[in-house]
Amino acid sequence: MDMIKKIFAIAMVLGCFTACKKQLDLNPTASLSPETVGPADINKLVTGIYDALQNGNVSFYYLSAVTEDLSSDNLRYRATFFQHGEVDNNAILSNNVLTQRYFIGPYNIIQRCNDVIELAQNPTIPEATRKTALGTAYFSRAYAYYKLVTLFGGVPIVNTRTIDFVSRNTEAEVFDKIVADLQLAISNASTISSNAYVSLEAAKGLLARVYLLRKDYANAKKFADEVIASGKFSVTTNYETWLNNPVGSGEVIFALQYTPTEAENSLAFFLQHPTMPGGGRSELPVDNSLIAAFEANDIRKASIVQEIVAPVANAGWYVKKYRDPAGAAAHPMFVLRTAEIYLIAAEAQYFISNQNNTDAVMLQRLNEVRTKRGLTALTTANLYDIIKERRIELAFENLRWTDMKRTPDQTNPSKSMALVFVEAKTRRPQDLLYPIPQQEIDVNPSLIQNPGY
Amino acid sequence: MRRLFMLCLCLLSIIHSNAQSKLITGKVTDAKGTPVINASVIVKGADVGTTTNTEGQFSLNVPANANAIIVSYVGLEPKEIALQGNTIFSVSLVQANTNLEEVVVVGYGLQSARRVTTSIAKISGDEIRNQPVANLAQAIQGRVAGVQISAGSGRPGAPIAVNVRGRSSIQAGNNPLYVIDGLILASNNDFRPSLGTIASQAAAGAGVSPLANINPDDIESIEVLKDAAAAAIYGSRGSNGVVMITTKRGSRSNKSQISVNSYYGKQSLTTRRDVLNATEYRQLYNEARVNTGLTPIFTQAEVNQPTADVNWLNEIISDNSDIHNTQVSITSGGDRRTQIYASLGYLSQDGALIKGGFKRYSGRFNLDHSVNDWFRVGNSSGLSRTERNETPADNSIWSPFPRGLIARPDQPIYKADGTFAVNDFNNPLHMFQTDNFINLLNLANLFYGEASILPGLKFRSSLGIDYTVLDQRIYNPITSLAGQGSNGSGTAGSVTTQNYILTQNLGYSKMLFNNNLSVDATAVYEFQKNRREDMRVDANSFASDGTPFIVSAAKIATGSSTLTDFSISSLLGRVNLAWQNKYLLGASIRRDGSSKFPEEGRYGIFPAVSIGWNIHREKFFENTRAVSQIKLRASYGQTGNQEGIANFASRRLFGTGFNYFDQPGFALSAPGNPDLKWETTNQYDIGVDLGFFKDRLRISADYYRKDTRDLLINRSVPATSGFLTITQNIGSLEANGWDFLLSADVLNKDLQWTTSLNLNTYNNKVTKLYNGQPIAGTFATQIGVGQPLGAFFLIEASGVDPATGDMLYKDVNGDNIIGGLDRQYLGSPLPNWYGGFTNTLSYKGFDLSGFFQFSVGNKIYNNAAEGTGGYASLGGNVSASAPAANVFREVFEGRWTTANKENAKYPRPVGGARGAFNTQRSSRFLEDGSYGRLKNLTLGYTFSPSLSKRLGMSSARFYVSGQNLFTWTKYSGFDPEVSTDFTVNNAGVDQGAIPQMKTITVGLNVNF
Repeated sequence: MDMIKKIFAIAMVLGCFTACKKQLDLNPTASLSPETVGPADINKLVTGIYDALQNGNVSFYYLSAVTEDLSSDNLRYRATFFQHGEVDNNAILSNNVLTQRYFIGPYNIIQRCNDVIELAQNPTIPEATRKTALGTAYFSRAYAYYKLVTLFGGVPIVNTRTIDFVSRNTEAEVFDKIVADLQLAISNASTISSNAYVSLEAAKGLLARVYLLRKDYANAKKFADEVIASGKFSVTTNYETWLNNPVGSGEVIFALQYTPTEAENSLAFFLQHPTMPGGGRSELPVDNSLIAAFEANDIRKASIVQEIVAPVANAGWYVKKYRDPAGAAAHPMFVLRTAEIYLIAAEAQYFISNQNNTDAVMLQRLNEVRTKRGLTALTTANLYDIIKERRIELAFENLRWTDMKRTPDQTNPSKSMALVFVEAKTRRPQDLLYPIPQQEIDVNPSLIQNPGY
Repeated sequence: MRRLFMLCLCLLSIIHSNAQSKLITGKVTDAKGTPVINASVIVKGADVGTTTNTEGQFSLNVPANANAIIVSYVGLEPKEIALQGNTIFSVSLVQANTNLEEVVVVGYGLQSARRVTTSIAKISGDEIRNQPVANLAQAIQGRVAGVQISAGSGRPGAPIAVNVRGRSSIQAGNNPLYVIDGLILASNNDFRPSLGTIASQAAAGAGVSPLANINPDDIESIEVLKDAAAAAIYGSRGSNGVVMITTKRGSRSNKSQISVNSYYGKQSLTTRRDVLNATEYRQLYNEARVNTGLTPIFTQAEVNQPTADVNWLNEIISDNSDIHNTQVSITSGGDRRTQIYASLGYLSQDGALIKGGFKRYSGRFNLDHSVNDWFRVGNSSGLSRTERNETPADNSIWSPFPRGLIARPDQPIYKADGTFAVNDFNNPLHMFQTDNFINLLNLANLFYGEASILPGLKFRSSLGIDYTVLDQRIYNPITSLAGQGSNGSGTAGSVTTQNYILTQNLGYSKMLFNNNLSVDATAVYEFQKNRREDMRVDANSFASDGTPFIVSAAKIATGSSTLTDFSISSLLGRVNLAWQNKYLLGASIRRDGSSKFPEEGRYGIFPAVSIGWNIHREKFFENTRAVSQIKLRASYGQTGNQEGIANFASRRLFGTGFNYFDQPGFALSAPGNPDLKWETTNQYDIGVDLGFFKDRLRISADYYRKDTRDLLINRSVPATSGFLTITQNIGSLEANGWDFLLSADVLNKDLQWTTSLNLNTYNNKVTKLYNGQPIAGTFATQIGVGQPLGAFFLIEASGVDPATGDMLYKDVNGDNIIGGLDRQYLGSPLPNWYGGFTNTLSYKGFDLSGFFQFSVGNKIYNNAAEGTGGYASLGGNVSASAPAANVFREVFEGRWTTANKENAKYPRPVGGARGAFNTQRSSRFLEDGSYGRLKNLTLGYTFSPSLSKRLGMSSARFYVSGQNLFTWTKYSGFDPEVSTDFTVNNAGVDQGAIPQMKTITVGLNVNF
């Protein structure tokens, strides 16, 4: 009897707690398993691409948005990230953690694009959704390779996320990939509805930029003209207005938007002086040669730079293009602007016309920008007038270093502007390309370093 | 689960009653006549037995041919009684007569110490009581052979690094597993609440320790399972050793007792260091400017009469501060069915700086009740709350203490209008305007039921809950250093962890083969679930400092909440056999399944085996009087480690939060590793326990080897994959060491003198890393193959050049450039040996005890001294616009000058490139961290029984005690002991932690 009671009691206790295997199958609450991500989620993954363009999970990648200006003659380094100093001096060490992020960041974009392109093959996705997704993915992948190839030269082209040792492709192969991707973007993307997102016009504009870089002037002109002919964009006389309200402005074809909630872009903090609205740390003041390049009456000067006068500490000129008076780290970053398209058209036409200083089409495209910015219309203009206009108009928009590398020097045309620039600082021709990050070579023996590093 | 149930049924079914038998009855008592409950009564040579009931009584049908019974109980000497035709017996069992007969907690059970074949250290609650420290781990520091404990900081209630036989992991954590009364504590219990949005104040230093919520007065004993054979019973979590804490319970015997313990004390810093006054500082600044090629910045008059002269350390240190502790407890006694232990405790300890105070309120209620003669239930319940008003941060060069060392003494604290003045290195007093309240509420409850099914066969089921809520509130006032830019900023957040653990334990113990073989077997099923929720809101722009809660903020900056969980399901079994208590064999096996690992390889098996030989029980030893014990032990076991890796590290995951333009997005963020598994440690231990002169002299020595493989490391992967790191099992580590313990009752007459010394060594070496690639530490260390874990990797300084006054360094690669390529391995944060030494003297009512602790041969990197802004910088950061940081006077006085060239210990004051060169990270700041410390000295007086009786007390003791009274060290920083961090990368790196305190207390222990 007693025994039966005991057995009963034990059986009851045991029965209360039946644990089964399933209790070890837990799921995270801030992440999703691949099995649960399907075609219905494609728009969220496309948002993930935009996030990668912003910064993704690569901290400080957003600083790559002015690295061309720092390598060239638009910005200089004062303090405090010595890695910025290496970029400014064109003396980058292969262990520079900032340029390492400029290498990592684009691959973060590329692989998110690869994920979307793969998922978009799913037949259950509605056609319109698929085309938007593919348009965004192909454009973003092309833009990522563009950022890589302009800084590092030929880089590996990757189509899957497999963790393996990939080798570098040639510069030409990377450019071919960019052109192919942009053509796919053009065939998928729809015409612009908001400049916060990738559009057909953004794809054409970026393709024009790439063709100009590849000296395919006919194609550069063709795509630039198509963007202008869309009638969606214009260069305006009120620089302040569009700079304060870039979303929806015809001056901007595609800009990455940041909101106070996301607050993941402190570019202004690095560029501004502490006394400027929104604060700053005086890390990267403006190079005086850029200030000297402004013509009188240029309305852009007051809008994009500001002078801090002694005795305030660290006096000098500072960038206010990325102003964000609330200090909320929420100013947009420009990927493609209308003025650049006009200047691409002008430069392409200049070469198409066999460098005719008075070519009417060239002058018309160039003066469209100049006159809106408070400057006189030129009656004759050469390549350097256009490059100078690009320098002022597109200052701090990450184009100057490539412009200097692709343009022959005015007084020493056998060398590029960039080569003359670095040689004046007793740096070497090899310094025109950034080093492949040593950390990447350490983990991938197939990756060959750029010469001279 | 079902399997266990079947096992029960099987065991039950094989039992049958004997037909031809006679009934005997009896009562078992201890030496004091108190009934012994659950004593085992078995018939010699037969498979028949029973246990005593709550009255100590038994009745048993014995076979007709039986001629003797054996009565035994853990901790008491077993007795064999001839039947001789009697049917009623009165059995008195005596206490096992030496301390070797004591019982130790072994995890899922108890074991007689003389049958233990593994390496287990035990500390009694009495040894650690009354120490004026908030964290329990600090109280056992230096008292356990093979366990190295160092305080990360002098902050009360800060976490303490406890390393049982060293560090066996690189990234998966090195904390032991804590088990309180059978309740496994959560592994994610080391809270590091974030301090706000200011990057330089991002973390609350070394965090908050939940162990500080435990009242040491409630502790009966602490057992540390050191070798793998002991710890393997905890399987995949045993690699770092197991600390078993047992709280006090009511007594069946004795009288009920009410105890009041109280002490009160005064605290001050263990060490003070002088920094320069304003005149000396200005002299240094001028000198550095001249050496840098600049003009002096102060005139001689300005040097001689500085406008301000502030000693910042004096401003922020809270000297002569208070510590106070009171506890009241009730231990029930005499009742055979119900036992109660209840206590209430209060501790209040001021911090070493003007903030940093700590308070603990704790209550405990432990209950055991025998429902009937075979069923027993009980509950262990602890409720505690600790409150901290923290310093803004600790063990970071950006926290107020190290800032106080370098702040300019010639800049005032306040402006003329009474507001805080600006200091070029942050006004340290101004930093204290920030409020950082951290409260930790802990509720730990374990309920059990225990049934004696058959003689020797017991079933115990328990359900434990460990519930912890940390809430933190930070407020940076509108005028504070951190809040002035944002018009006041604040953070409110909480971390809630719920840890449930269910244990089903079937235990069987029996004497077989004519009482020659003792069998002790245990089978356990256990399930643990842990869930952690974090919440946090950040806001700024406050209406007033009088309204510091988020509701009064105009802007909510960010908000977030997360939840994550893990669970572990385990089966384990253990058998201990002893033949005539001479030949001992133990074997155990545990199978753990963890949600942290992928289904493939989710289950791990952790075996252990140990043997022992009590040589002194052999016949040939019987006549050796001097030797009372010789026991040889050997063990092997396998343990695992799965702490420190993320709950879902094995999974390929799409992360969220990848948003754009306030639209939600996600992206593949973790590559996943389907092969992920735990780190495995194989440990071998051989040991000997010796006793001489009736165990008045006891020696215990162990040698062990600990090899860890499949080290969990976040390895970098090619970024072209879109991933940055993958968690993989890569790398191996080898370690070995000696634990040595000698204790003796030197005198045991009127004057009693006991002494105890533990000496330990521990060495380790990394034997494998991924592709042999070293892993760089944050500061001065690097993990490399062939090197000890956390070895210092630095440029070697070869002293001051007498000709120039600048530093000389070894150009290892001969490229004429001193740089990163010249770094070499220059030492280890591990000591050559460490230990503790205790002496206790007592005479009549007086007792005097002294406890020393020491560590020899370890290196410390003095990170707070290095660099152009460190406290040994000698103007290293001086430029045309930048001022010098303040320095230690000793550094200033030993500097190179034209008058002191040959004997200069430190370089000349200089800024610019030379300053950076002289103060760069090098062995110049690598110091000998050896120390000896008189940790505790206590003089007590126990009132004579007659006096205490006259005062209405059963006993009373009064004492005076000093903590950290003397320290012997060559280390130039503040405290050689606290100056460590817990990560392997930063072990032995002193970032200017708040040093420990010297405390004098007076106390009273009274029992009624």
